[in-house]
Amino acid sequence: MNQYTDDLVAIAGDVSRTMLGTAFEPAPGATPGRPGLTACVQINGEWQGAVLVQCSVAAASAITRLLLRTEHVEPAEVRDALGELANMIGGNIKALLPGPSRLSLPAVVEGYDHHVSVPGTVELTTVPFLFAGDVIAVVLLGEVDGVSAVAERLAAEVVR
Amino acid sequence: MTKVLVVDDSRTVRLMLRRDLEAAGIEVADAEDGLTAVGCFAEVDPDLVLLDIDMPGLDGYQTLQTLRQHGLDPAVPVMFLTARAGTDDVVAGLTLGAQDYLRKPCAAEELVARVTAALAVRSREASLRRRLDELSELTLTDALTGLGNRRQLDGMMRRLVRDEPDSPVAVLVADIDRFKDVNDTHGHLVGDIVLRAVADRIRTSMPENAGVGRWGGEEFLVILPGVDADQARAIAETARHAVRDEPVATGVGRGIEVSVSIGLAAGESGAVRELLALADDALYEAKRLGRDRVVDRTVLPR
Repeated sequence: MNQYTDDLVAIAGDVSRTMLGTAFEPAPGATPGRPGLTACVQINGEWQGAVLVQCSVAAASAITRLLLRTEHVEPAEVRDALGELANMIGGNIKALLPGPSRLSLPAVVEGYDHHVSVPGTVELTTVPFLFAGDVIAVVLLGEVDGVSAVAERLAAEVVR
Repeated sequence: MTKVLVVDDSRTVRLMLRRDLEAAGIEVADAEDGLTAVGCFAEVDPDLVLLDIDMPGLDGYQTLQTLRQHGLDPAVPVMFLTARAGTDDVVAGLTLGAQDYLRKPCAAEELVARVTAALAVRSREASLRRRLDELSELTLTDALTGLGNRRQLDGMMRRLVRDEPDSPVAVLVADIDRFKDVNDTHGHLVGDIVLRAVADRIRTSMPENAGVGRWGGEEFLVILPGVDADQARAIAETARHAVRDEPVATGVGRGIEVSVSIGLAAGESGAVRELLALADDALYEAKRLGRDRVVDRTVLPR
Protein backbone atom coordinates (compact mmCIF):
# COMPACT_ATOMS: atom_id res chain seq x y z
CA MET A 1 0.00 0.00 0.00
CA ASN A 2 1.53 3.37 -0.94
CA GLN A 3 0.77 6.92 0.21
CA TYR A 4 -2.04 7.36 -2.31
CA THR A 5 -3.94 4.16 -1.59
CA ASP A 6 -5.43 5.31 1.69
CA ASP A 7 -6.58 8.56 0.06
CA LEU A 8 -8.22 6.72 -2.82
CA VAL A 9 -9.97 4.30 -0.46
CA ALA A 10 -11.31 7.18 1.65
CA ILE A 11 -12.40 9.34 -1.29
CA ALA A 12 -13.98 6.57 -3.36
CA GLY A 13 -15.74 5.35 -0.22
CA ASP A 14 -17.08 8.82 0.54
CA VAL A 15 -18.21 9.46 -3.04
CA SER A 16 -19.98 6.11 -3.34
CA ARG A 17 -21.59 6.39 0.09
CA THR A 18 -22.88 9.91 -0.59
CA MET A 19 -24.01 9.41 -4.15
CA LEU A 20 -25.11 5.76 -4.19
CA GLY A 21 -26.09 5.25 -0.59
CA THR A 22 -23.67 2.33 -0.34
CA ALA A 23 -19.91 2.47 -0.03
CA PHE A 24 -17.53 0.71 -2.38
CA GLU A 25 -15.86 -1.94 -0.30
CA PRO A 26 -12.07 -2.10 -0.60
CA ALA A 27 -11.03 -5.53 -1.81
CA PRO A 28 -7.23 -5.79 -1.54
CA GLY A 29 -5.94 -8.50 -3.78
CA ALA A 30 -9.07 -8.70 -5.89
CA THR A 31 -8.26 -8.84 -9.55
CA PRO A 32 -10.33 -6.65 -11.81
CA GLY A 33 -11.56 -8.40 -14.92
CA ARG A 34 -11.26 -6.84 -18.31
CA PRO A 35 -13.01 -3.49 -17.99
CA GLY A 36 -15.84 -2.72 -20.34
CA LEU A 37 -15.65 0.96 -19.47
CA THR A 38 -12.92 3.29 -18.29
CA ALA A 39 -13.67 6.84 -17.17
CA CYS A 40 -10.69 9.16 -16.98
CA VAL A 41 -10.04 12.67 -15.67
CA GLN A 42 -6.64 14.25 -15.99
CA ILE A 43 -4.97 16.57 -13.53
CA ASN A 44 -2.70 19.10 -15.20
CA GLY A 45 -0.56 21.73 -13.55
CA GLU A 46 1.86 21.62 -10.68
CA TRP A 47 1.05 17.94 -10.43
CA GLN A 48 0.44 15.83 -13.54
CA GLY A 49 -1.61 12.72 -13.53
CA ALA A 50 -4.99 11.11 -14.01
CA VAL A 51 -7.67 9.19 -12.17
CA LEU A 52 -9.27 6.21 -13.90
CA VAL A 53 -12.38 4.36 -12.83
CA GLN A 54 -12.60 0.98 -14.55
CA CYS A 55 -15.37 -1.55 -14.38
CA SER A 56 -17.66 -3.79 -16.35
CA VAL A 57 -20.67 -2.40 -18.19
CA ALA A 58 -22.86 -4.29 -15.71
CA ALA A 59 -21.24 -2.58 -12.71
CA ALA A 60 -21.43 0.82 -14.37
CA SER A 61 -25.08 0.21 -15.16
CA ALA A 62 -25.72 -0.70 -11.53
CA ILE A 63 -24.03 2.52 -10.44
CA THR A 64 -26.15 4.51 -12.89
CA ARG A 65 -29.39 2.87 -11.73
CA LEU A 66 -28.56 3.83 -8.15
CA LEU A 67 -27.63 7.38 -9.10
CA LEU A 68 -30.76 7.95 -11.15
CA ARG A 69 -32.98 5.69 -9.06
CA THR A 70 -34.41 4.08 -12.12
CA GLU A 71 -34.44 0.55 -13.48
CA HIS A 72 -33.81 1.29 -17.12
CA VAL A 73 -30.71 3.21 -18.12
CA GLU A 74 -29.40 4.10 -21.55
CA PRO A 75 -25.76 3.45 -22.57
CA ALA A 76 -25.18 7.22 -22.83
CA GLU A 77 -26.42 7.64 -19.28
CA VAL A 78 -24.09 4.88 -18.09
CA ARG A 79 -21.09 6.56 -19.72
CA ASP A 80 -22.08 9.96 -18.32
CA ALA A 81 -22.60 8.56 -14.81
CA LEU A 82 -19.22 6.78 -14.74
CA GLY A 83 -17.57 9.96 -16.05
CA GLU A 84 -19.20 11.96 -13.27
CA LEU A 85 -18.00 9.42 -10.69
CA ALA A 86 -14.42 9.75 -11.99
CA ASN A 87 -14.87 13.54 -11.94
CA MET A 88 -15.86 13.54 -8.26
CA ILE A 89 -13.06 11.18 -7.22
CA GLY A 90 -10.55 13.11 -9.35
CA GLY A 91 -11.66 16.48 -7.98
CA ASN A 92 -11.18 15.32 -4.42
CA ILE A 93 -7.82 13.69 -5.16
CA LYS A 94 -6.67 16.89 -6.86
CA ALA A 95 -7.45 18.83 -3.67
CA LEU A 96 -4.86 16.71 -1.84
CA LEU A 97 -2.10 17.14 -4.41
CA PRO A 98 0.29 20.06 -4.94
CA GLY A 99 -1.37 22.85 -6.91
CA PRO A 100 -2.35 24.87 -8.71
CA SER A 101 -3.66 22.41 -11.22
CA ARG A 102 -6.73 21.86 -13.39
CA LEU A 103 -9.08 18.96 -13.69
CA SER A 104 -10.02 17.95 -17.23
CA LEU A 105 -13.51 17.09 -18.32
CA PRO A 106 -14.10 13.35 -17.98
CA ALA A 107 -13.48 11.08 -20.96
CA VAL A 108 -14.97 7.60 -21.15
CA VAL A 109 -13.53 4.70 -23.13
CA GLU A 110 -15.80 1.79 -23.98
CA GLY A 111 -14.77 -1.69 -25.12
CA TYR A 112 -13.06 -4.80 -23.84
CA ASP A 113 -9.63 -4.40 -25.28
CA HIS A 114 -8.26 -1.02 -24.33
CA HIS A 115 -5.45 0.44 -22.31
CA VAL A 116 -5.39 4.03 -21.06
CA SER A 117 -2.10 5.81 -20.62
CA VAL A 118 -1.23 9.43 -19.95
CA PRO A 119 2.18 10.55 -21.22
CA GLY A 120 4.60 11.43 -18.47
CA THR A 121 2.86 9.38 -15.83
CA VAL A 122 3.09 5.93 -14.33
CA GLU A 123 0.60 3.91 -12.37
CA LEU A 124 0.96 5.01 -8.75
CA THR A 125 -1.69 2.76 -7.32
CA THR A 126 -4.68 0.68 -8.30
CA VAL A 127 -7.34 0.12 -5.67
CA PRO A 128 -9.91 -2.62 -6.29
CA PHE A 129 -13.35 -2.28 -4.73
CA LEU A 130 -16.22 -4.71 -4.57
CA PHE A 131 -19.55 -3.43 -5.74
CA ALA A 132 -22.65 -5.35 -6.78
CA GLY A 133 -20.64 -8.54 -6.99
CA ASP A 134 -18.20 -6.99 -9.37
CA VAL A 135 -14.75 -5.45 -9.06
CA ILE A 136 -14.33 -1.74 -9.71
CA ALA A 137 -10.77 -0.47 -10.02
CA VAL A 138 -9.77 3.09 -9.22
CA VAL A 139 -6.37 3.87 -10.67
CA LEU A 140 -4.14 6.84 -9.98
CA LEU A 141 -1.57 7.71 -12.61
CA GLY A 142 1.02 10.33 -11.83
CA GLU A 143 4.56 11.50 -11.64
CA VAL A 144 7.00 9.61 -9.48
CA ASP A 145 8.03 11.81 -6.57
CA GLY A 146 7.51 14.98 -8.54
CA VAL A 147 9.58 13.81 -11.48
CA SER A 148 7.67 12.79 -14.52
CA ALA A 149 8.13 9.29 -15.79
CA VAL A 150 9.33 10.66 -19.09
CA ALA A 151 12.02 12.73 -17.40
CA GLU A 152 12.97 9.74 -15.32
CA ARG A 153 13.27 7.53 -18.38
CA LEU A 154 15.32 10.16 -20.21
CA ALA A 155 17.63 10.44 -17.22
CA ALA A 156 18.02 6.64 -17.16
CA GLU A 157 18.88 6.60 -20.86
CA VAL A 158 21.53 9.28 -20.32
CA VAL A 159 23.10 7.16 -17.59
CA ARG A 160 23.16 4.16 -19.89
CA MET B 1 -43.05 28.55 -6.76
CA THR B 2 -39.34 29.23 -6.55
CA LYS B 3 -37.26 28.25 -9.53
CA VAL B 4 -33.66 27.07 -9.74
CA LEU B 5 -31.60 27.05 -12.93
CA VAL B 6 -29.20 24.08 -12.89
CA VAL B 7 -26.18 24.39 -15.19
CA ASP B 8 -24.12 21.21 -15.50
CA ASP B 9 -22.70 19.34 -18.48
CA SER B 10 -23.45 15.95 -16.92
CA ARG B 11 -26.94 14.73 -17.71
CA THR B 12 -26.67 12.43 -14.70
CA VAL B 13 -26.10 15.38 -12.39
CA ARG B 14 -28.91 17.40 -13.98
CA LEU B 15 -31.34 14.52 -13.55
CA MET B 16 -30.30 13.95 -9.94
CA LEU B 17 -30.57 17.62 -9.04
CA ARG B 18 -33.94 17.92 -10.73
CA ARG B 19 -35.21 14.91 -8.81
CA ASP B 20 -33.93 16.12 -5.43
CA LEU B 21 -35.01 19.75 -5.82
CA GLU B 22 -38.43 18.94 -7.26
CA ALA B 23 -39.02 16.59 -4.34
CA ALA B 24 -38.48 19.62 -2.11
CA GLY B 25 -41.10 21.62 -4.03
CA ILE B 26 -38.61 23.65 -6.05
CA GLU B 27 -39.15 24.13 -9.78
CA VAL B 28 -36.10 23.29 -11.90
CA ALA B 29 -34.92 24.44 -15.30
CA ASP B 30 -31.61 23.17 -16.61
CA ALA B 31 -28.89 24.00 -19.12
CA GLU B 32 -26.11 21.70 -20.32
CA ASP B 33 -23.44 24.38 -20.53
CA GLY B 34 -22.68 28.01 -19.82
CA LEU B 35 -23.67 29.40 -23.20
CA THR B 36 -27.05 27.67 -23.03
CA ALA B 37 -27.55 29.17 -19.57
CA VAL B 38 -26.70 32.65 -20.83
CA GLY B 39 -29.19 32.17 -23.66
CA CYS B 40 -32.07 31.03 -21.49
CA PHE B 41 -31.73 32.67 -18.07
CA ALA B 42 -33.87 35.71 -18.93
CA GLU B 43 -36.76 33.50 -19.96
CA VAL B 44 -36.30 31.15 -17.02
CA ASP B 45 -36.07 34.08 -14.59
CA PRO B 46 -34.53 31.92 -11.84
CA ASP B 47 -34.53 32.65 -8.12
CA LEU B 48 -31.19 30.84 -7.80
CA VAL B 49 -28.55 29.45 -10.15
CA LEU B 50 -26.73 26.20 -9.36
CA LEU B 51 -23.58 26.12 -11.43
CA ASP B 52 -20.95 23.50 -12.24
CA ILE B 53 -17.44 24.80 -12.90
CA ASP B 54 -15.80 22.34 -15.27
CA MET B 55 -17.89 22.45 -18.43
CA PRO B 56 -17.13 22.57 -22.15
CA GLY B 57 -17.06 26.11 -23.57
CA LEU B 58 -17.54 28.64 -20.80
CA ASP B 59 -16.47 27.29 -17.44
CA GLY B 60 -18.53 28.06 -14.36
CA TYR B 61 -16.54 31.15 -13.42
CA GLN B 62 -16.91 32.60 -16.92
CA THR B 63 -20.58 31.65 -16.98
CA LEU B 64 -21.20 33.52 -13.73
CA GLN B 65 -19.47 36.64 -15.04
CA THR B 66 -21.30 36.46 -18.38
CA LEU B 67 -24.68 35.97 -16.70
CA ARG B 68 -24.09 39.06 -14.55
CA GLN B 69 -22.92 41.06 -17.59
CA HIS B 70 -26.09 40.04 -19.41
CA GLY B 71 -28.28 41.30 -16.62
CA LEU B 72 -28.74 38.47 -14.14
CA ASP B 73 -30.07 40.30 -11.08
CA PRO B 74 -27.23 40.61 -8.54
CA ALA B 75 -29.80 39.65 -5.91
CA VAL B 76 -30.20 36.20 -7.52
CA PRO B 77 -27.83 33.90 -5.61
CA VAL B 78 -25.43 31.70 -7.54
CA MET B 79 -24.08 28.52 -5.94
CA PHE B 80 -21.27 26.45 -7.37
CA LEU B 81 -21.63 22.67 -7.22
CA THR B 82 -18.42 21.14 -8.44
CA ALA B 83 -15.90 18.36 -8.15
CA ARG B 84 -13.20 21.00 -7.70
CA ALA B 85 -12.66 20.49 -4.02
CA GLY B 86 -9.53 22.56 -3.39
CA THR B 87 -9.51 25.57 -1.08
CA ASP B 88 -8.18 27.79 -3.89
CA ASP B 89 -11.17 26.77 -6.03
CA VAL B 90 -13.61 27.59 -3.24
CA VAL B 91 -11.97 30.96 -2.67
CA ALA B 92 -12.03 31.74 -6.41
CA GLY B 93 -15.74 30.93 -6.61
CA LEU B 94 -16.73 32.95 -3.58
CA THR B 95 -14.52 35.86 -4.65
CA LEU B 96 -16.42 36.01 -7.94
CA GLY B 97 -19.61 36.60 -6.01
CA ALA B 98 -21.04 33.13 -5.55
CA GLN B 99 -23.31 32.81 -2.55
CA ASP B 100 -22.10 29.32 -1.70
CA TYR B 101 -19.73 26.62 -2.91
CA LEU B 102 -20.68 22.97 -2.67
CA ARG B 103 -18.21 20.19 -3.26
CA LYS B 104 -19.23 17.05 -5.06
CA PRO B 105 -20.18 14.61 -3.77
CA CYS B 106 -22.89 16.51 -1.93
CA ALA B 107 -25.64 14.63 -0.15
CA ALA B 108 -29.11 15.44 -1.47
CA GLU B 109 -30.29 16.55 1.97
CA GLU B 110 -27.43 19.01 2.33
CA LEU B 111 -27.90 20.32 -1.19
CA VAL B 112 -31.60 20.95 -0.67
CA ALA B 113 -30.95 22.52 2.74
CA ARG B 114 -28.37 24.92 1.33
CA VAL B 115 -30.52 25.85 -1.65
CA THR B 116 -33.50 26.40 0.62
CA ALA B 117 -31.42 28.55 2.97
CA ALA B 118 -30.12 30.66 0.08
CA LEU B 119 -33.65 31.10 -1.24
CA ALA B 120 -34.83 32.16 2.22
CA VAL B 121 -32.09 34.79 2.38
CA ARG B 122 -33.10 36.01 -1.07
CA SER B 123 -36.72 36.22 0.01
CA ARG B 124 -35.80 38.25 3.12
CA GLU B 125 -33.60 40.54 1.02
CA ALA B 126 -36.45 41.09 -1.45
CA SER B 127 -38.79 41.92 1.41
CA LEU B 128 -36.28 44.40 2.87
CA ARG B 129 -35.75 45.94 -0.56
CA ARG B 130 -39.50 46.44 -0.99
CA ARG B 131 -39.67 48.07 2.44
CA LEU B 132 -36.72 50.28 1.55
CA ASP B 133 -38.47 51.33 -1.66
CA GLU B 134 -41.58 52.18 0.33
CA LEU B 135 -39.55 54.24 2.80
CA SER B 136 -37.72 55.98 -0.05
CA GLU B 137 -41.09 56.78 -1.58
CA LEU B 138 -42.26 58.22 1.72
CA THR B 139 -39.23 60.50 1.96
CA LEU B 140 -40.16 61.92 -1.45
CA THR B 141 -43.89 62.34 -0.83
CA ASP B 142 -45.86 65.13 0.80
CA ALA B 143 -47.86 63.44 3.53
CA LEU B 144 -50.93 65.68 3.26
CA THR B 145 -51.50 65.79 -0.48
CA GLY B 146 -49.69 62.66 -1.69
CA LEU B 147 -47.84 64.79 -4.24
CA GLY B 148 -44.09 64.84 -4.52
CA ASN B 149 -42.31 66.96 -1.95
CA ARG B 150 -39.55 69.51 -2.33
CA ARG B 151 -36.86 66.81 -2.23
CA GLN B 152 -38.46 64.92 -5.11
CA LEU B 153 -38.79 68.05 -7.25
CA ASP B 154 -35.23 69.10 -6.46
CA GLY B 155 -34.10 65.65 -7.60
CA MET B 156 -36.04 65.94 -10.83
CA MET B 157 -34.48 69.34 -11.57
CA ARG B 158 -31.00 67.97 -10.88
CA ARG B 159 -31.60 65.07 -13.28
CA LEU B 160 -32.87 67.40 -15.99
CA VAL B 161 -29.81 69.65 -15.70
CA ARG B 162 -27.44 66.70 -15.69
CA ASP B 163 -29.03 64.37 -18.23
CA GLU B 164 -30.85 66.49 -20.81
CA PRO B 165 -29.83 70.13 -20.48
CA ASP B 166 -30.82 70.99 -24.08
CA SER B 167 -34.34 69.58 -23.98
CA PRO B 168 -37.35 71.88 -23.55
CA VAL B 169 -39.05 72.23 -20.21
CA ALA B 170 -41.70 74.45 -18.64
CA VAL B 171 -42.07 75.31 -14.98
CA LEU B 172 -45.37 76.30 -13.32
CA VAL B 173 -45.72 77.71 -9.83
CA ALA B 174 -49.32 77.74 -8.57
CA ASP B 175 -50.53 79.32 -5.35
CA ILE B 176 -54.00 79.08 -3.82
CA ASP B 177 -55.54 82.55 -3.71
CA ARG B 178 -56.49 83.92 -0.28
CA PHE B 179 -55.77 80.60 1.39
CA LYS B 180 -55.15 82.35 4.73
CA ASP B 181 -58.80 83.46 4.65
CA VAL B 182 -59.90 79.82 4.20
CA ASN B 183 -57.93 78.78 7.27
CA ASP B 184 -59.04 81.79 9.31
CA THR B 185 -62.71 81.39 8.37
CA HIS B 186 -63.16 77.63 8.28
CA GLY B 187 -60.27 76.29 10.34
CA HIS B 188 -57.18 74.27 9.49
CA LEU B 189 -59.03 70.99 8.97
CA VAL B 190 -61.04 72.54 6.16
CA GLY B 191 -57.83 74.18 4.93
CA ASP B 192 -56.29 70.71 4.62
CA ILE B 193 -59.33 69.50 2.65
CA VAL B 194 -58.90 72.42 0.26
CA LEU B 195 -55.17 71.73 -0.10
CA ARG B 196 -55.83 68.09 -0.95
CA ALA B 197 -58.59 68.96 -3.44
CA VAL B 198 -56.48 71.59 -5.22
CA ALA B 199 -53.50 69.22 -5.30
CA ASP B 200 -55.68 66.55 -6.86
CA ARG B 201 -57.13 68.90 -9.47
CA ILE B 202 -53.72 70.21 -10.47
CA ARG B 203 -52.30 66.70 -10.69
CA THR B 204 -55.10 65.40 -12.91
CA SER B 205 -54.67 68.40 -15.23
CA MET B 206 -51.05 67.53 -15.96
CA PRO B 207 -49.44 65.18 -18.50
CA GLU B 208 -48.20 61.84 -17.17
CA ASN B 209 -44.51 62.75 -17.28
CA ALA B 210 -44.98 65.96 -15.28
CA GLY B 211 -43.36 66.34 -11.89
CA VAL B 212 -46.05 67.70 -9.59
CA GLY B 213 -45.28 68.60 -6.00
CA ARG B 214 -46.12 70.71 -3.01
CA TRP B 215 -43.43 73.37 -2.92
CA GLY B 216 -44.51 75.28 0.16
CA GLY B 217 -47.58 75.86 2.37
CA GLU B 218 -50.22 76.45 -0.31
CA GLU B 219 -47.82 76.61 -3.22
CA PHE B 220 -47.40 73.90 -5.88
CA LEU B 221 -44.62 73.39 -8.38
CA VAL B 222 -45.06 71.61 -11.70
CA ILE B 223 -42.16 70.64 -13.96
CA LEU B 224 -43.19 69.82 -17.50
CA PRO B 225 -40.42 68.07 -19.49
CA GLY B 226 -40.69 68.44 -23.27
CA VAL B 227 -43.26 71.25 -23.07
CA ASP B 228 -42.88 74.69 -24.69
CA ALA B 229 -44.42 77.98 -23.56
CA ASP B 230 -47.59 77.71 -25.68
CA GLN B 231 -48.33 74.21 -24.43
CA ALA B 232 -47.50 75.25 -20.88
CA ARG B 233 -49.97 78.16 -20.98
CA ALA B 234 -52.73 75.83 -22.20
CA ILE B 235 -51.92 73.30 -19.47
CA ALA B 236 -51.85 76.03 -16.83
CA GLU B 237 -55.23 77.34 -17.94
CA THR B 238 -56.66 73.83 -17.77
CA ALA B 239 -55.40 73.50 -14.19
CA ARG B 240 -56.69 76.95 -13.22
CA HIS B 241 -60.16 76.09 -14.52
CA ALA B 242 -60.09 72.68 -12.87
CA VAL B 243 -59.53 74.39 -9.53
CA ARG B 244 -62.05 77.23 -9.84
CA ASP B 245 -64.91 75.66 -11.85
CA GLU B 246 -66.17 73.49 -9.01
CA PRO B 247 -66.36 74.45 -5.31
CA VAL B 248 -64.39 72.22 -2.98
CA ALA B 249 -66.78 69.99 -1.02
CA THR B 250 -66.07 70.19 2.70
CA GLY B 251 -69.13 68.29 3.93
CA VAL B 252 -70.77 71.50 5.07
CA GLY B 253 -72.86 73.81 2.88
CA ARG B 254 -72.27 74.12 -0.85
CA GLY B 255 -68.51 73.97 -0.60
CA ILE B 256 -65.77 76.55 -0.85
CA GLU B 257 -64.89 78.38 -4.02
CA VAL B 258 -61.15 78.35 -4.59
CA SER B 259 -58.89 79.76 -7.27
CA VAL B 260 -55.18 79.65 -8.04
CA SER B 261 -52.72 82.07 -9.53
CA ILE B 262 -50.10 80.51 -11.76
CA GLY B 263 -46.75 81.82 -12.94
CA LEU B 264 -44.88 80.02 -15.67
CA ALA B 265 -41.69 80.11 -17.69
CA ALA B 266 -40.42 77.79 -20.40
CA GLY B 267 -36.95 77.22 -21.85
CA GLU B 268 -34.18 74.63 -21.76
CA SER B 269 -33.81 72.06 -19.01
CA GLY B 270 -30.25 73.16 -18.26
CA ALA B 271 -31.70 76.45 -17.01
CA VAL B 272 -34.58 74.96 -15.03
CA ARG B 273 -33.53 76.76 -11.81
CA GLU B 274 -33.60 80.12 -13.61
CA LEU B 275 -37.00 79.20 -15.09
CA LEU B 276 -38.25 78.49 -11.58
CA ALA B 277 -37.18 81.97 -10.47
CA LEU B 278 -38.94 83.50 -13.49
CA ALA B 279 -42.09 81.48 -12.82
CA ASP B 280 -42.01 82.63 -9.21
CA ASP B 281 -41.81 86.26 -10.36
CA ALA B 282 -44.69 85.59 -12.74
CA LEU B 283 -46.75 84.19 -9.87
CA TYR B 284 -46.34 87.42 -7.92
CA GLU B 285 -47.29 89.33 -11.03
CA ALA B 286 -50.46 87.21 -11.32
CA LYS B 287 -51.29 88.00 -7.70
CA ARG B 288 -50.64 91.68 -8.25
CA LEU B 289 -52.88 91.73 -11.31
CA GLY B 290 -55.83 90.41 -9.31
CA ARG B 291 -55.26 86.63 -8.83
CA ASP B 292 -57.00 83.71 -10.58
CA ARG B 293 -54.91 84.02 -13.69
CA VAL B 294 -51.86 82.69 -15.53
CA VAL B 295 -48.84 84.89 -16.21
CA ASP B 296 -46.08 83.73 -18.55
CA ARG B 297 -42.54 85.05 -18.02
CA THR B 298 -40.91 83.01 -20.77
CA VAL B 299 -37.94 84.85 -22.25
CA LEU B 300 -37.95 84.18 -25.97
CA PRO B 301 -34.52 83.51 -27.50
CA ARG B 302 -33.20 86.38 -29.58
